[in-house]
Amino acid sequence: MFSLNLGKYRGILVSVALFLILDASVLVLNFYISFEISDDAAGVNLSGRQRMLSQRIAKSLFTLNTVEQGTEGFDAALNELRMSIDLFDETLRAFAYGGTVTGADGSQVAIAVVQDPAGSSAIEEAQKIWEPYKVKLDNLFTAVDHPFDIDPTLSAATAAALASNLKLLKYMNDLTVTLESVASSKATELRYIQTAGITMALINFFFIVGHFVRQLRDSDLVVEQARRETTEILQTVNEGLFLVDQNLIIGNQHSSKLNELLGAKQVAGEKLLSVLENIITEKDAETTRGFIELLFDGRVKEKLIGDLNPLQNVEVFISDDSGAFIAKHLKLDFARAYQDGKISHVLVTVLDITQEVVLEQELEKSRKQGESQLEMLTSLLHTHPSLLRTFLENSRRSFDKINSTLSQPSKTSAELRVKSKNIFAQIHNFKGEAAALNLEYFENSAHVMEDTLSDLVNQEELVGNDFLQFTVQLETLISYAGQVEQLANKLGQFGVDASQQPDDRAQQPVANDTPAQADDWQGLDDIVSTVAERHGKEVLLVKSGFSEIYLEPEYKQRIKELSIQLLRNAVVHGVESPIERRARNKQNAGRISIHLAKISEGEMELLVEDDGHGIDFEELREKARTLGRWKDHHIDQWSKRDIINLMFMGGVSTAAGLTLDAGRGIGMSAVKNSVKEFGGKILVTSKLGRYCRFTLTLPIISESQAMVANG
Amino acid sequence: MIVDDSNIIRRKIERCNDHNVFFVVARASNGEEAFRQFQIHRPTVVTMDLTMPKMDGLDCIRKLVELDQNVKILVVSALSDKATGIQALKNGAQGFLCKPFSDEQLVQALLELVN
Repeated sequence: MFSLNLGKYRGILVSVALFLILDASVLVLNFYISFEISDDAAGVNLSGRQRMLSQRIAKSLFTLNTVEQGTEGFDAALNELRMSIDLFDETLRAFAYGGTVTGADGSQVAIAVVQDPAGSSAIEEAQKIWEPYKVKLDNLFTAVDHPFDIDPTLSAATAAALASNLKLLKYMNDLTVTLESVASSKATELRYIQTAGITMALINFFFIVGHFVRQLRDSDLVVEQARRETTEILQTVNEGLFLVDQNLIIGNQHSSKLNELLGAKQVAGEKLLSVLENIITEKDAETTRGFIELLFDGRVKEKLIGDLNPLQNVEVFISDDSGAFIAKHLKLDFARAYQDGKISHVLVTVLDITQEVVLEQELEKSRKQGESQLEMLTSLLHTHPSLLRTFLENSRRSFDKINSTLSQPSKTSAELRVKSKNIFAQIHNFKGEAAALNLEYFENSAHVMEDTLSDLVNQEELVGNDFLQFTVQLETLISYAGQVEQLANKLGQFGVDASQQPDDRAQQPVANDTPAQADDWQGLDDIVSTVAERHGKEVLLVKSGFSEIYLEPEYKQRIKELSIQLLRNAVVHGVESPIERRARNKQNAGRISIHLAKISEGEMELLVEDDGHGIDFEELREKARTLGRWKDHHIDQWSKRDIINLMFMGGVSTAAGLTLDAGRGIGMSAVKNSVKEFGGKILVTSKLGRYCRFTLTLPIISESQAMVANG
Repeated sequence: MIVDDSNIIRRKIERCNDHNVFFVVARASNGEEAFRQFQIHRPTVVTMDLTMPKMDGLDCIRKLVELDQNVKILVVSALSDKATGIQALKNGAQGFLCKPFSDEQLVQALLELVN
């Protein structure tokens, strides 16, 4: 990491190193020169002392001349002369050849050889004078130390002193001046060095500062640029983007879209689960916490836990500015974010997947619609064929009208708008008829087409091409209507309701709404024999009372449907197979009787009875158990009444498998619903192994007004 | 090692390995058996179902990880309860594959697990 950043900081590091080296060099030089200056000062002092000593020697000689030998004054002067000579000689030597001398305070002072030419010549000259002078002085001391007459040697020494004294003083003075000037030039040198060093250090310092400032400015610019770009990205991006840390706290920066998606004003710095509190369940929140913890666990493979994300589709209801709630589907994606190779945060992306979800739901819906089309086709079995035929004829007429409206030339938006309004009226009429016949597919399709048309009406600019979507929808509907028509024709040939076929009707002299005739109910025999045959059973149907009561045609059709359900039920669930019947000492053919009778003014009774094996309550109980819809101990406590209720419940059947006639478990619930709708009652009586009887009490409806009110 | 109480799933997982990317050393139909087999064969990679008789996947994962810190466990389970899946990973599994899965998905997941 350090080596990576060195490039960026190399300049600054070199500068700082230079600064330090410069400082250190100046300091070392300073020390060195200041030591030299201190040495020079000692030299100046000692050369000054030489001047003084030369004079003291002369003074001591003159004192010896004036004081009598053997006196105290003579000895003192002699002693002073001796010390002065020694000190002068020693010092002069040291100046000439280097060495140590005794300083003023008695300590030893080292003296370097004087290098300066003027200095060294002064020393040389002084030595030339001193050497003979010193011989004379030494002779004096030899005489003093021996019992000789000292006068001749004293006179000689004094004469030498007179001759040399002033010269010696001059040379020593010259030496002092020379040494002083050397010291002074060194001090000047030191000042120059210091000034230069400090100047260079200052230049270096300013360089460093300048460099730093420039670099800071550059990096600030880069940071600022990056910040601006990040802000721009966060403001523009269509997803909610933010980071959460290990404590599930949302980072300070997030995309602007996030607030809108989550419907939360304050998001930054908040706890993620608090922000999501209102839109996810407590359990999902807990799962989310666990999931994010997994993402922070480096051991777990990020790519292999995506399926565990609990927030792949969160449905939220968020109020918009007008206060109305909008349903949205959000998807929260989580991804690890690394810093220095470690998982530092989890990046959360919030996506609005409403469109995808809606599309998926629509696909699912259309898939179901496909299924329901099939269901509807089978349910056509129960629809009044003549009504269906009329409906289909009307539809065809409507479609023709719509097509001709569509093909009329129209240029302006206004014309096209009028066109769509006209078509809307046709479709709306069609929808009404489909709803009346309970033809859900037609009704729903018409509803969707109405939506398309109202969108067109509300559109500001309208062109011919805008009708494209509607045209496709219309094509689909027309083709479906064609299929239904074909099927209806086939059903007619199949004989479900032959008497109601228009072709047959044309041959019949009597109109449909004449009082009931036996023929109207003829279809029941056909159904019973068909179903019985399909199930390998033999059945004898006994009908009675159907010609006695006049019923409004549509109501009659409904009662007939009820009867068909009950008869089917009796054939499939009631009557046993011929083998079983023989084993129970019954005749091969089961007997089913259906009976319609007026029991009071406005009330009738529909009775369906079979001599089959009756209701086996225990079998039904076991059947309920296998469905797994109820708890076992509840099933154990069920009364017979509960079990009969079960028989009338949708989705429950005792038939071994699914067949055309039974097993879907919707027949008996349809019976119950119809009876309820008519305001009637159902009575069930049964004896195991003997019979089962359904008695329906129903109103007599003979006028169409009453039917309309009921329907 | 393949751990699943359904022999069909066990066979399906084994069949995915037609490319011979992995060498199946052991199979087990419950947690206890898996734990025994693990001690004998010491597989490096384990596919683990969660709902099993005797010892369930959650306990089994914990015990296997106790025994071998480096074992790589891929949970292969239906996604009825995400919280259980998360718990399995907390117990020491490293990946989760949702049933039903394709051959390719399984091989990819196993390769991801060992890389």
